[in-house]
Amino acid sequence: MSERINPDLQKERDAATFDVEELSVLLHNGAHELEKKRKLEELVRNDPDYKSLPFDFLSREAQYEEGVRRSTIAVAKKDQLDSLIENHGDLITYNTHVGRGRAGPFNLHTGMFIPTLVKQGSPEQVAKWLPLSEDYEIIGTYAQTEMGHGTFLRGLETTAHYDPHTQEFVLNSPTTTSIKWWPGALGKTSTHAVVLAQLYTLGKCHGIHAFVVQLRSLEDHKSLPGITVGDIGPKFGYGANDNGFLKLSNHRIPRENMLMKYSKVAPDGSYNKPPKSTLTYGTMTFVRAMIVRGSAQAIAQGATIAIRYSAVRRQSEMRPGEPEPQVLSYPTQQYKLFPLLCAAYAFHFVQVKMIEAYSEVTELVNKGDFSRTQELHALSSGLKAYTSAISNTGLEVCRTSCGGHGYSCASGFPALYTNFTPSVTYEGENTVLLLQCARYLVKCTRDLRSGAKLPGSVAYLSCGCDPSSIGKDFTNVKTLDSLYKQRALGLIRFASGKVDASMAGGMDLVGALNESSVHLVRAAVAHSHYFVVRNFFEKLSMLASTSQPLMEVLHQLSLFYALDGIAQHSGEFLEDGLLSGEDVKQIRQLTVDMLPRIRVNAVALVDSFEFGDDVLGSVLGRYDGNVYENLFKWAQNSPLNKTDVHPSYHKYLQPLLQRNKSKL
Amino acid sequence: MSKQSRLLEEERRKVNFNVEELTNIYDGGVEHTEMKRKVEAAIHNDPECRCKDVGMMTREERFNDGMRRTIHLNKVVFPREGWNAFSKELDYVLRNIGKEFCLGIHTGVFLPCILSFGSDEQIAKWLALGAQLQIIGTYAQTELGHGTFLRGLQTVATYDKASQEFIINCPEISAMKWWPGDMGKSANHALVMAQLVIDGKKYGMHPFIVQIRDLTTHMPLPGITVGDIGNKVGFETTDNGFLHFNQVRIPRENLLCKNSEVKPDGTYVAKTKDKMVYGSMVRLRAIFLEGEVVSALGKACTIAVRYSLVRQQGELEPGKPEVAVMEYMTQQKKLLPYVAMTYATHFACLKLRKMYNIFEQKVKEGDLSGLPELHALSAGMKASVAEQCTDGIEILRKSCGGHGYSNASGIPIIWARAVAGCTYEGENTVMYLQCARYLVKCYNQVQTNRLHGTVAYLNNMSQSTCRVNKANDFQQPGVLVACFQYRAREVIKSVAMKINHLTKNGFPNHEAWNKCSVELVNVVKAHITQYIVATFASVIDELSCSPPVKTVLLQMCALYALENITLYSGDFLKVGYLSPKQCDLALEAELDLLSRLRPNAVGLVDAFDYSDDLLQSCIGAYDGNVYERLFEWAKKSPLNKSEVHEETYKYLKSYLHAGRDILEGETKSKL
Repeated sequence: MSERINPDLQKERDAATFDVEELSVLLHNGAHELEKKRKLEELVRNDPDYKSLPFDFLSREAQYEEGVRRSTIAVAKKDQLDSLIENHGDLITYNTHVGRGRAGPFNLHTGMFIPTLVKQGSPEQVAKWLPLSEDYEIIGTYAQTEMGHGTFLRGLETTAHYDPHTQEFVLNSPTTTSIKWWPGALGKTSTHAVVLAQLYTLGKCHGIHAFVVQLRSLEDHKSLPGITVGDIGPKFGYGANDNGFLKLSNHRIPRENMLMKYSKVAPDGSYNKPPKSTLTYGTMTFVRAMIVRGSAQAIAQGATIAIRYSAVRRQSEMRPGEPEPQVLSYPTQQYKLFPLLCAAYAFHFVQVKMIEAYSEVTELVNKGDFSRTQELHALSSGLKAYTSAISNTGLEVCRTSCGGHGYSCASGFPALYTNFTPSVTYEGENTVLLLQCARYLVKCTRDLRSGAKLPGSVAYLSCGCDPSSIGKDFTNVKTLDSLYKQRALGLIRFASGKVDASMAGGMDLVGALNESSVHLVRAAVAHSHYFVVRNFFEKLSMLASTSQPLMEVLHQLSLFYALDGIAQHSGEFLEDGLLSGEDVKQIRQLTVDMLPRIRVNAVALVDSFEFGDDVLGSVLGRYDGNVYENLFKWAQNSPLNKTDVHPSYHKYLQPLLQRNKSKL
Repeated sequence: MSKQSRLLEEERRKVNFNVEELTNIYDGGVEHTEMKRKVEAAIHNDPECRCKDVGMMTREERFNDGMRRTIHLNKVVFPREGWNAFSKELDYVLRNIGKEFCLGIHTGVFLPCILSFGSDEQIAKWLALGAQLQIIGTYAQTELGHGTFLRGLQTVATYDKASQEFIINCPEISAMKWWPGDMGKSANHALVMAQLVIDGKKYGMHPFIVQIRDLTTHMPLPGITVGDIGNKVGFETTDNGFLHFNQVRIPRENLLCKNSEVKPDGTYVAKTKDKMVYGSMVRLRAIFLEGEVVSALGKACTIAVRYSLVRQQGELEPGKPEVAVMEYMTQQKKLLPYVAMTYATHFACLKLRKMYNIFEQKVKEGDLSGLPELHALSAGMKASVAEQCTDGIEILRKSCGGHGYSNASGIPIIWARAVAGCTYEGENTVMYLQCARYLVKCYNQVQTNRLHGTVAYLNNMSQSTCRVNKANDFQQPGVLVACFQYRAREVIKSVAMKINHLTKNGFPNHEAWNKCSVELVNVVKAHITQYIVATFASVIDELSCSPPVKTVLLQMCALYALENITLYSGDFLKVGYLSPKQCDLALEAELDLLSRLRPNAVGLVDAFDYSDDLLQSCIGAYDGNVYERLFEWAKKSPLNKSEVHEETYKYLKSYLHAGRDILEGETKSKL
């Protein structure tokens, strides 16, 4: 294999106006973190234990096997990494590379089972289960979702009846719809699960509680009596994960297996209520913040593949007689990809912000101050839904921008897309989350009337509506900020006005919210979009030691992101009279005019994300740009190519073809 | 009967129109429905070719099974039923065998191309062999480095006078043929598009028949490297292939010579250029859009609507029982516009096919004048309909929440195949721009010539505004058609003027064009949406049917139009046809329509008449028995073959035994 870089790609890199290393350091939170990431990557890349066929050629079952194999090897090697792993984030980096960006079978164990034990278990429970879990002597999962219920928690049907005589809980799945369904690693891997069930004691239901349930024997891994457990079958993606089902039939567990940090059931069956019901909020908010990060990474990966490939691919004639241009030179291609490139940067800065906000609020909560939990919950819901939806559709735009080759698994897009897209439905379905965010916004507008002061992300709701105050210099950050602010204000006020009107007409709040839900979703989107735009500008204004050339480029990206957002949603800006038809034309022209300037740096901007070829898993998006020879090499792995003549030939085709050979 | 089945039964009782009547209209007449059902029964009742669930199968299993089914269909079913490649039933065979079959390029492209490109003698020789499956062919045009841009193809066919042979060669790796269906493992012949070179002179792309595998052993012939290009998003049953030529010699007679010929001495003879090649592309596009894209959207709608009617989640009123997710306005707004889109695009495809048939008649009378219009329309439709519909399928999948993500829902498999339509047979952006070229040309003529047919609406260039002042007015097809015509012609006008302005200021044509290409894509979307709305409205207008069916179709038409107004309100406002107030009214009208359509939702998707065999969905089956089906399905997962998955347990065992020792030690010490 040639070591050379594809000359077209090299040319793009040479033309960049800023220092890629400087941006990489910025994106990775400093030189130290970046260095560590590179070392961990290097370690996985050079480790022969992690060599295998591309996942795309493995059957579902073989993907699962390979996932378990890699994950267990990673566990065994953990001790060798001690010098490099400074925190949980580093371990995630390592595991991401081990799993080649795919969710492995231990994700729920480390991501949900252990945190739930720690957060909801009593000190004795933590002392008992945590060491076992950390050494993988038991493997756990988190079983909440049921076949018939997901996002709506109170609807869960699994029951846990306390039996004071034996001091046990009896767990049951009373209906088909109550079978636990979807939890990762539940099917074949896990020996234990935190099961969420309706608690009944002394004849009374106390709602959803968490129980540690052993599923499989630690001797031979067979499922225990009263437990029916298995894999739910192949999905769109997540082939390496055994998402599972669990049916409980009069399955008994000791009283001590209910997680009792807060709620308690005494041996006699008496129930003790938790002091505060919002305590589980934190985990959910954190998981949503993580999805915002995932959305930023997914779209950055998509943009990396599509932009590199567009620099390598040549097609058609722009000017008669001249050589074929790079696809990246077509404005239509730039107009497809650059908004997504800018979104990748906007989302990067917003995920940083989201995690900062989470830490701040967690600190407050630890001091007993719950005043900002609602705001944080609304913000994380809105941003999770907004960013994941954009990245989800954006990935498909990136894929189709690669033409036919995007459809091949060699492009990396099929795996990237199918593994990312559950983000829009899991951990709170997007529409439901937007409505939760909107509900908070409606509440805020009411609080304002009673003179309340609103916190950070919603403080702007107290501003007046004044379209005439917005300037006409559309490259001015203040003007753009005002435009987005006024659009969000307009839509929020319109939606809450509708809700108020319905209620004034005698409808109850829930009915009014449903009737206006389409408007509320629009309001929540506008609010979240505004937050992303504003945060992008703010974060850039806070960069202190960044060089001038890099600042210029980042500023350009933020401007393009904001301007293009207006062009895409022009209707909402026009409807509220914030802009005239002429203004919109001018803004659209501004975005088109900016395309060539972004193009100069496009390849360097995706290089700065520093996704290794292993994680991208894309022949089209290779760093060296040697696309065609590697496509050919990749295809040799196809299962159909094991033999020159495929077995189906002898079975089906040969008898047909050779009926009348003499004719030829 | 499960609760879910009862819910769906109750839903069907609410439907206020005759579903069978609507099915007949959708199919294009009662006789078509009958033929469809006859074919459906023949396939359903034959266990060897009945559609089956492929959600658990590997790529290779699906390929093998597809081949088995295809051969059975050809060898047994066709003779038994008296069908052949030209019988009327063929459309319905394609509909009802589902997507799991092989040799689609052989029958769908290789054979027709021999007809289009071959001389009479060539047709007599190759078509007969191919029709009997005595040879299997593929159509090898696309290369690793080039697709849509034909002139860029690099494979060369050099004529060697001495031996009277062509030498087919790939000068570099990017010249390798890449993507053609049936090419990797099945075909033993290929119709290869290559640059013809005689005495060092290039003559452009020409079609050659090249044998690629041995007729006895099926091994690749010397100089040929051929194989499967590996796994894709979908199309598991197709062995899309790579094919590399290293100085492969073929006889002079293997150049298909209807359009041009090479004499033994190397003289090149060009015959009349056959424009009907473009004509047959129009026909293919209409068939492809309906068969691969619109039908896929219809299936996804069927699944998502039925599931949303039986899936219960959350409380609308505190304390009351949970409601079906369809009760949520946001869910109605997600699903019902796509049901409307299915109807709208379906009728537009039917219309395109009718236009093609009329055109074909005229060609027989020597009149080819309709070709540019038809070609532009079909290119614009191809891009716009493929994009709208495949985006829709994904939205419908997500509307099913988590279960949509499982292969058990059927939607991942439906989407994976349909979405290829956005990039094959002409990449969408290129298609948009081809249509745009025609529209700009028409606009430039409108001052001097009256336009006809699908662009006639451009004749009226007077300024006006919409007069609607209450939401209800937006239910009228006339009002809606006017909105879309006005918007389309204004956006065309604005770009055409910009191009003219640029060229007047010294920009060469191609540069002006490229500078405006971003807006030109939008122009075509506006034009095609206008065409779809107008066509739907006129189809309903001409329909004689019962009032309830007419009402529900009018509602579908209005919903499709209103959804597009709400989505693109910026355009309507910018051109000054709608006011902000009217945009609000349009959204109000749409929301109102959703509530009125809600009781008919199941009837509207039942009318598409997709059998459970074709849907292969646990959550979208006719009887609504979602959960029991899901559980039965999951039990069949390959990972569940044994209680303990031994292959992976071997990795886990040592850890877990340590856990056993600790936990059992603890229990023992307690005792």
